[in-house]
Amino acid sequence: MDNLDISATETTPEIKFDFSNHHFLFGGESYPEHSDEFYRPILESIQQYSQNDSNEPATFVFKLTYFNSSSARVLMKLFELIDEMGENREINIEWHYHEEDDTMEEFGEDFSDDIENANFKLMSYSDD
Amino acid sequence: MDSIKFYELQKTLKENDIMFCYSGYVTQKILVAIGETIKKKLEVEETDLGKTKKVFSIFVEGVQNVIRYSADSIGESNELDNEVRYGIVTIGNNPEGITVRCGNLIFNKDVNRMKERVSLIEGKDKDELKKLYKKQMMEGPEEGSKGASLGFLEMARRAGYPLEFSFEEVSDDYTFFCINAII
Repeated sequence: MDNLDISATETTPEIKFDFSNHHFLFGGESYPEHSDEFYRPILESIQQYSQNDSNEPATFVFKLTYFNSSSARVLMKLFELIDEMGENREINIEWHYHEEDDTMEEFGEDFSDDIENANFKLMSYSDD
Repeated sequence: MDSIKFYELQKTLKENDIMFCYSGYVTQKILVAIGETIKKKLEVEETDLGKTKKVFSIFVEGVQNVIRYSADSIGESNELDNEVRYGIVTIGNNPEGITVRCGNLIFNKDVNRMKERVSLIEGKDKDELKKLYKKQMMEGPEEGSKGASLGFLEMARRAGYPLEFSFEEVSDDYTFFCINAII
């Protein structure tokens, strides 16, 4: 599969999927007017990737700093997909949040509650 | 508007500790521009990051609600519709914290639907809101709503106090709908 490399805009996050190295990155802010439209091809590419036979460990890194409620709904679907993948291979999820940002911390906790087949790591960072 | 009325408008805003006010047509582009302004303003005032994020989140959900509501009426395109594409947003200070207030006209025929949505949130504590949020995420957008109905829940979860909703019937066609959040 060709790598997916989408630059951030004012309202959509940076997306970098390196399929051959099994590395997936989401970074920045997400509050597009139409979240479903933006995320549809992204979810489809993960779905396609999950159907490959590979059982190499995969890593999903989230460095999101803000997202709106309709993006949250899409993220929940994404975590369902990722969790399903974890039934057949090792999946690592990193959820990065600023130490003062209790909203992103809480979202990380909420999402991690529903993850059964993957390692979910909450990782705080500071300004320094 | 004559200059005295214009001055009185500014005075009213000042007297109510409004630091920012936008009134007019709302679109996603306008939302982004105002959002950036608010973030910079709060940064200059050294508001802590967690609080800034909550103000921004409530602002985005409030304005996207107005945009979506307006979008609902596109297609019926007549003079009445243009009124509901206008919103008013203010950011202010009060003794409890930072306030975000969003208002727009809605059709009288839609008031009951809106009141039902609001009643799901009123009186709920943070844990109940969290559970409801999850439930709504699983169920998907409700009938007749173009976006996630999670917007009000998101606002309620981020606010420091219960959200205040109000409905003022202003004519045979319209009701002024307003959400006030304190962070």
